[in-house]
Amino acid sequence: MSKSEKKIVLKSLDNEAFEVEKAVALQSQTIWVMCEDKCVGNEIPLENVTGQILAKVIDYCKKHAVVDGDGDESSEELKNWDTEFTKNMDQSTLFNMILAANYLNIKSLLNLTCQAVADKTKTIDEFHTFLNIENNFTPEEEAQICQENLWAFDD
Amino acid sequence: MASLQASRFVLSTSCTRARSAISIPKLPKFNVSVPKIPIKNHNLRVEEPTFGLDGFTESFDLSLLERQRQKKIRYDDRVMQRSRLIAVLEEVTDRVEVHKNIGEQRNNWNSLLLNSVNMITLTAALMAGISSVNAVGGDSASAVKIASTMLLASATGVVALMNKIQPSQLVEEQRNATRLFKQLRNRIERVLREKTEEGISEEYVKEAIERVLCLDRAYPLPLIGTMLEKFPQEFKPATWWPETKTETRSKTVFNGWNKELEMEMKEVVEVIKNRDAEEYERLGNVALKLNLALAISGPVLTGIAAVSSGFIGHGSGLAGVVATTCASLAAVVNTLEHGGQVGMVFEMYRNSAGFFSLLEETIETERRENGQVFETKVALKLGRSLSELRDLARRSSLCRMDSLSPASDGPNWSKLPFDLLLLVFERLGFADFQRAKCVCSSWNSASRQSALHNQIPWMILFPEKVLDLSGDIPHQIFETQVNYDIFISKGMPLRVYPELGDVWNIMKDHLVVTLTGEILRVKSKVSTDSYFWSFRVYKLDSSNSKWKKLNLYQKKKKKNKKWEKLNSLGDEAILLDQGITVLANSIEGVNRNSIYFSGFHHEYRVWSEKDIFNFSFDTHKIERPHPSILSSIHSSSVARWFVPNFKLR
Repeated sequence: MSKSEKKIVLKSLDNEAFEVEKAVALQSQTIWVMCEDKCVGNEIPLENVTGQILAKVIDYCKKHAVVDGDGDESSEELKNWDTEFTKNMDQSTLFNMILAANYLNIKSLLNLTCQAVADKTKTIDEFHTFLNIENNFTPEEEAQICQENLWAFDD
Repeated sequence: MASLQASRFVLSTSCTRARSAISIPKLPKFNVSVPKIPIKNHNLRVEEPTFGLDGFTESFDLSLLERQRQKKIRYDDRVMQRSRLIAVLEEVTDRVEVHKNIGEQRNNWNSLLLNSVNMITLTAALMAGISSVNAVGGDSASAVKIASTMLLASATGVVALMNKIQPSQLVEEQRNATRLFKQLRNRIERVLREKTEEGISEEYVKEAIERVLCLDRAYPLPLIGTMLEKFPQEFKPATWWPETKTETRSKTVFNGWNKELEMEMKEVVEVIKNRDAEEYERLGNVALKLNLALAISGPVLTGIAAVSSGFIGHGSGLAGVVATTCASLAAVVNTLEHGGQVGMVFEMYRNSAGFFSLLEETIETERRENGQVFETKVALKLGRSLSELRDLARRSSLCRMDSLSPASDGPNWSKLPFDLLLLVFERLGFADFQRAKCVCSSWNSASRQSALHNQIPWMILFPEKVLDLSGDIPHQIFETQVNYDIFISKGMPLRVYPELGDVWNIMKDHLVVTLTGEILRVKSKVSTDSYFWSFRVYKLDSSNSKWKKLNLYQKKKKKNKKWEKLNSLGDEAILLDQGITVLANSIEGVNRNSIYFSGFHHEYRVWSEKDIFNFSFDTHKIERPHPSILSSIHSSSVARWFVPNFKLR
């Protein structure tokens, strides 16, 4: 299979180029479709992903490609690696990783990152300050919603 | 059917805002109840061991002797360590004196050298001026000229030497050394004072020696041989402390350190690193460059003056002008450098930067000291009050948050695409989900469209009466009723007891839909006088192809074989009341391969708390729920397992 051994170049938004093996890149459904349709050459420009994020995505894909191929690493180990992978991500990276995973259509990565966001314990204030979300309820709306869910705030 | 009504019940009560309904979702926290009884016993037992111990030592004289011997050895060792430490202390006190004296001497050097050099240079400048005015004055003029040249030449030499050794910097070095040695002396004295009882460990003595050596290395005594580099290539903070080994944190004794304090100290370190240390480094570099420029220009100017004064009288009067100007300038430069003590300033910065990196290192490694005391120390060292320090830490952490996600281009999570938001929402726990929908309007609308994925089974307790507590007097709104399947006894009773009523075998069929959509048939059997349940689980034979191939006769014959017996549920657990399964390994507190059910109501049996069970296929045993759960169930209430997959709107 000479075709699958070929390397392809992924180019990020900020023109950083990453050369990866095709097997690694093809975990992305988006890239897979692109290659399948032969609508791109050896270089795939990814307009929505910055180099910093793309590097992380490729890290993930490489890890998973190796495991899928060789099977010498247990799934337990892989799970631990995944946990470590998302554990130290800051909010901004996590946010962009979700977007990237969605754009590149990597199901497992999307699941992983969404789970990571969901797992962080949160209070409403944390949502507002750390996640940088504007509270755009009117005071009446907010009062009503809080009233309805009073029990969720008292721990 | 019962479960359907149960969830509808919850919805309707939540609308009327009855207290009882609001408290229902707290059920999963039951596991925290703690038995309180053992405290009393504990108090009683406290005194016993001391009695026992005394009796023990009296009756065994041999072991007493042995212990005394060891005590003596330990005592000797303590005395030894103590005298060692005293020796170190003496040495340190001596160093303090020596450094102080040298510092004074260097200070004298500085003022004397500066004064004399300036005097020489200025006199020479004057003489050069005079000789250039009387350039044609014959012997007397040339004598003045030669004298000025000589004076300037010697001044050049002296200035060069002086700039090389930087007396003002030496003075500051000695001053710092004195101060640091004094600090060390105080520390050792304190230890000697405080630790009279438990003795001084050998490690501490070693550490003290190490500190002295490090200080020695940082501020050497002799002048030239091992003199500190006065013009290093780059500015480096001074280091005068031994490398601290990272303390193992195994000592979990409470010593005032907690998470918040740790965070606070980390923030302080961050601020120090980013602001103070950098600032001092920058200033230090400026001082270094200035000093270097001055140090070079001083001798060069005097040199030029010396050379040009040699040429006075040859040709134009330019040489005289150059000589006088250069010599005067040199005097100014020298005064600036040594009078203004630029070298000292540099040394001061170096020391301050060193202080900050020491502080940083201590904060990162120090855990031995009491946290609160340490915090106070840091605050004092940084010249701030405690509250100011905390404020500083908080602000810095906020700043860092901002810099990580600046409002302009950082992630705005409310702008996460809708479908992705749903993905996250599906993974939230029930309480988090309820909180998340209160965050902003887009999240609120997303919450309405996502189904809760994370299904932790709850046990719902139905109160007998639902009270409206909104008014002054609580009044009952409605009574609750849970529909049970009443079993009508059929056939012959198993045993007959005249006074208790007959004993029947209750058999029942349940249908359960698994996570993968398969249909299970659960047969249960229990006799009315016991709690021994038996279960059989059958799976609907889904191999349709096989079924189709059979002819009518075979089908008829195999009719009962459509259900295959299952011996294990795998990772799933059945909630019999609801007729569903859940994935047990993803839920804490729910065992895999088991059936959760509540007892069946029977015309002869009154429902009781004992009727909530969990049947494990692994052990084929019935287990009651965790005691903490059971204890919170009132005998009058009715309980059911269920999975909260509804949404409160």
